[in-house]
Amino acid sequence: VTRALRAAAWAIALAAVIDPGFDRSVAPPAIVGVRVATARPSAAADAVIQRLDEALRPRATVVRDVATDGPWCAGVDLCLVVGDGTATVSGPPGQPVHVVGLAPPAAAQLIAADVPARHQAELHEARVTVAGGRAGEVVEIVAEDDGVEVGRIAHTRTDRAIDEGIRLPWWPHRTGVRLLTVRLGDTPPAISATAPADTAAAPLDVLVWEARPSWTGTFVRRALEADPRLVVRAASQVAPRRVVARGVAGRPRDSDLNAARAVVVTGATALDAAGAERLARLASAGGAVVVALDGRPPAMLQTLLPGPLAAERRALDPVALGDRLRSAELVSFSRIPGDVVLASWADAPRGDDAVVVERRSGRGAIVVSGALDAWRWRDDEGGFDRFWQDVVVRAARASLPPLAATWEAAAGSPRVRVESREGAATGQWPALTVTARCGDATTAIDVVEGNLPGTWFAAPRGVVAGCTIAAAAGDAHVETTWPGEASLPLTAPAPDALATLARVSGGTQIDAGAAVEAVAALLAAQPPRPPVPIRWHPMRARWWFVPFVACLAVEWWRRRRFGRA
Amino acid sequence: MTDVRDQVAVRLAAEARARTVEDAARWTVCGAIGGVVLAVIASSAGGGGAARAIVVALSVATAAGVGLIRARRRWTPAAVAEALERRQSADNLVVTAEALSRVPTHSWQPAVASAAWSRLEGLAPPSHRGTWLRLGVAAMVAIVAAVVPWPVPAFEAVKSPASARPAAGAPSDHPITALSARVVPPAYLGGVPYDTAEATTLEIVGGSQVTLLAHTNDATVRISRDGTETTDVATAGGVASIELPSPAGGTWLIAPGSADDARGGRLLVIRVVDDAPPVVRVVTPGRDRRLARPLADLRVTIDARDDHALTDVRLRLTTVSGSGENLTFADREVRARIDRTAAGVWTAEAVLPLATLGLDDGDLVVYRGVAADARPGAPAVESDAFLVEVGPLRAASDAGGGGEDVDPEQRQAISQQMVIVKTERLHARTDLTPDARLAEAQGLAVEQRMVRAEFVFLMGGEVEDEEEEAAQAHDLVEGRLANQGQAALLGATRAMSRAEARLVAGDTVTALVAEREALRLLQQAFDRRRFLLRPVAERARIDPARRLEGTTPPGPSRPLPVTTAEREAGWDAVERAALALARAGGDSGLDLVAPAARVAVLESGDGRATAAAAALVRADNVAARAAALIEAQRVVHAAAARRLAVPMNGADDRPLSGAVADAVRRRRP
Repeated sequence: VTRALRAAAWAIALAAVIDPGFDRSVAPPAIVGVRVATARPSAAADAVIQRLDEALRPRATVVRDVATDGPWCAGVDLCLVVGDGTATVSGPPGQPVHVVGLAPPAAAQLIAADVPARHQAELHEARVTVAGGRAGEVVEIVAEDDGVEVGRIAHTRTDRAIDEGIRLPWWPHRTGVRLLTVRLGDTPPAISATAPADTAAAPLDVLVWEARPSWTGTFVRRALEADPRLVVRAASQVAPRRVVARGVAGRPRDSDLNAARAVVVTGATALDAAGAERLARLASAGGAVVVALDGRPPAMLQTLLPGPLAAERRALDPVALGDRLRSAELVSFSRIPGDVVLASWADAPRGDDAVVVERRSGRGAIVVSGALDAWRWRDDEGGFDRFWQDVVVRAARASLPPLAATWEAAAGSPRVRVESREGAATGQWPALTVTARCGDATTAIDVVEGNLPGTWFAAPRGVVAGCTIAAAAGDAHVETTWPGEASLPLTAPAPDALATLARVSGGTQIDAGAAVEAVAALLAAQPPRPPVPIRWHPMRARWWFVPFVACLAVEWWRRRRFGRA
Repeated sequence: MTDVRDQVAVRLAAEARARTVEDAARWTVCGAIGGVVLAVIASSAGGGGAARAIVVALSVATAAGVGLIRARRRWTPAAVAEALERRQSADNLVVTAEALSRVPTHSWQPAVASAAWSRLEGLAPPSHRGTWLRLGVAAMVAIVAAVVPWPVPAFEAVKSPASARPAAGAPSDHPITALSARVVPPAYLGGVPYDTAEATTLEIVGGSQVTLLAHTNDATVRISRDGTETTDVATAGGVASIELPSPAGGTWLIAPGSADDARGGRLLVIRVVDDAPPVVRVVTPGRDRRLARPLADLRVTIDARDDHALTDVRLRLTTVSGSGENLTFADREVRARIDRTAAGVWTAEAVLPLATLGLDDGDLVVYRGVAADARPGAPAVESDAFLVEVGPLRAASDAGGGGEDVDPEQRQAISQQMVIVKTERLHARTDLTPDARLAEAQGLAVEQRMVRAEFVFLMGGEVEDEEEEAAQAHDLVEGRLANQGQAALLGATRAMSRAEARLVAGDTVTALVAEREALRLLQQAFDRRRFLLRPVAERARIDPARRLEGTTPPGPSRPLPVTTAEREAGWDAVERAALALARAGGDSGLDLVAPAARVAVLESGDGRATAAAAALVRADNVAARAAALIEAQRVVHAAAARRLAVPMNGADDRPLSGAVADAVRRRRP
């Protein structure tokens, strides 16, 4: 026995030196990939994931927030999304997604805010999305800029899972790119989030083209000149060979029309067919054309009108066209699906009441006003001016800009959007150069510089101080400023986005209470993963030292016992 | 033995003095407590710190005096001896010794005195005596010291909750404890003053004098108007009398001069309501009349109303003779019988003596009611004018023998010729003082402006701003209004402008020249056509067929600059209010009077800002403070929105493709 023990010890020592290896096959544990889709950190989601991890071990390993360069969940055996409907997951999934639905949050949550850029002279508006809470609960939504409250509304929660597009008016406390703080309620703990806001949107370039002098043209032009949101250039054809112009060289050329966000035409009855066709082409290419009629339109203006005339009124007493405009002489148009009626004649025959109509045409729009003598009936409260200012600002903002680059701070992937009216009209993108610089003047970083491959490209994350983006094509040059990131998603998830994701990807919806059983069943239904051949080196484990020492010890004891040592 | 007797007497006398002092101390403490109560009552009635000190001192002194007198009468040696026997029995030896002391020859006196003295020596003084005295004196001193130097701060917590709130920084020790206002209406309204106390808003008639009385122990009171004009006013006897300048409208902040900010101050919003001119109208007949022959008089009823009081109502008439522009005007007034329903509600009846006016065919009588109130220097107010025209009637009306009503749309009243006649008449008058002449000329300027406005309207539009009109003049010259008639009419209106300007300055000579030039141009513009001076029946239309007929001037047009609009006025007030509320929201100890002043400035006429400011001042607990701040924030947001353009809904929508709309439109017939 003593010799056998000695031989065993020698054998172990020898094996440790040789380090032998053996091949064998092992079935690996399944990988369960989990993504959390909640607007705020959710304890309920954490609890579900922990329960799954404990219950499925060692058959499966739960991996949280699987991030891949391609489709997400591509390398896992089972893909789960744990969400409460207040957020969604972006990008295409690599396999069927099973959604573990959580109950919506008990307290109201702010989950998105979109703050479009506006001019400093106008009331701004944030679009806020709120989830959670109970139906009928009144939620105070407050906007703050640098600690100063600039907006507040009381919103009553509906019975929908998500109330999106809640309009929160706010006024610009400071000019420039601001980080607007939106919060719910006044008592701590306040739920707040930040969203970028540009309160210094550049004034819109508007061209007023008076084809012949008229009081309508004069008063509309004066109204627009009084609006700081607009920069008005004007050309008035006071005689066949005489043009009085502001900001343009003379009779407007195509380049003048294309450079404006909106073209306001008055005295249109003096237009010839070619002039009307130019304006129609401009609208079709993405521009905005506003026609303020002051007389019955001739047939050659048919291409600009929303349709044939439906009714005509000539009287001494005015009628109200909405709450801002009055007119004694007017023409109205029939309502056509797709048209937007901006002012209507209440006493008109049914369906023939559209007096100021916005008509979509191609990529742009044409607004036609049939209020022929509204200028005579201006009220003392400036309703006439405000109506025309709003109509032109609305049309100008909806038009495609000649060339513009804007930074959109979408959650997770800030990106630059470049728009070109010429590119949209012809389908041929001009050779554009886009430069973005983020940070202050001393630490500016060139993010992108080079030819633009398309309308979109991503920009890296990280710099939040503000970015200046410039896009140039030929003589055009556009600049805008925008923060790099927001801590709040700008786009709200659709209420049933997760259900749709499960359905279209071939997955299922799982109740949170039965998540463990359901996931176990799904794992059991999964085909077994093929065994993985692995090479086993037993001497690389530390445990070989135990029998080695034991053999030596017993061998020494026996020698002492029997008097050999 | 004599010594023993004296010792007993001395001991009783000392005991009597001690008890007298003790009683007096009790009375003094009671007096001090009563004085404090009286001081509180005096403070609620508006008394200052000095008054409270006097009340407390008198109360203490009176109580101490009464107590001393009563104690001295009470504590005689016999009373002291009885009290000692009651406290600890001495077998009646002390009383007996005291009684025998009044009979020095009594044989028992030495023995009794000796026995009594032995008992008195073993009698300990009351243990509470010194304590009572010390406590009484200390309490009295503490109460008096607490009341006299400082003006009862605990009471202020009731009067001014916002000011009494624990505040960070350096609040004033002397807040405004009471604020009252004395308003003296203008003399023409009687000038009877009236007082208001503790008001946060005050509505006064224009011209009133307002005097504020602010009660404080501070040496000065700082007042500011709308947060800008700040003045320090010294106090006298705890009251600062502040005479506000007239007009006193605005938001007044009255704060202690020693405060770092507005803590302890009061807010008063004064709104000035001007005395409105009377409203006068002709009730009957209330229409123009046309008569074939002016045989009967016309009874006219005039209704006049004023917000305070009327002083006169009359019927004024003008006869117009002649035709075309060769008209003769004659003014006169008719007294009316007045029925005064109230001081500001009068009904007058007058008779228009048509039969005695010598009217012929084609002549006119223009009449209107005239009412005046007591406003100094204010012109009388005229009603709408009505006509009585003498001339042939329609057949049916003529057969009826009376007159006929004239369509109100065909009225005519004022002409350029009438303005000239009135100016000539004024120029010829020598009985007027320079001020009266200037006032009359300015009245004619108003009429000239009315005539000009008629012609401007006749031309197709109005001119809101002469400077703007001048800036646009080249547009007109360069072809738009190049026909002779339009140009003459334009020249006439400009001449009227010059005449109006000279009349405003009282220069009737130069005004006459411009008026006659205007008349010449009018006659040139309208040729021989007779024009109606108020042609409201048919509004003139611009003849499109005559457009663009002017001669094109040589050379290029002048380039015009692109204009930029400016921001709405009043924005700074919004910014200041928002910042003040932000500070108040971040510091729960900050006084809300100053933010209230900022908010009150934003008042737009609906009273909401004033109410929000008052709520801020009244807020006396955390919940009320939070609610007031939220409402004030809403007021600020509304004020900001009023000063900003509000975009039309959907202004940010991205353009939708119009392809579908175009297809739908192409399918339609």
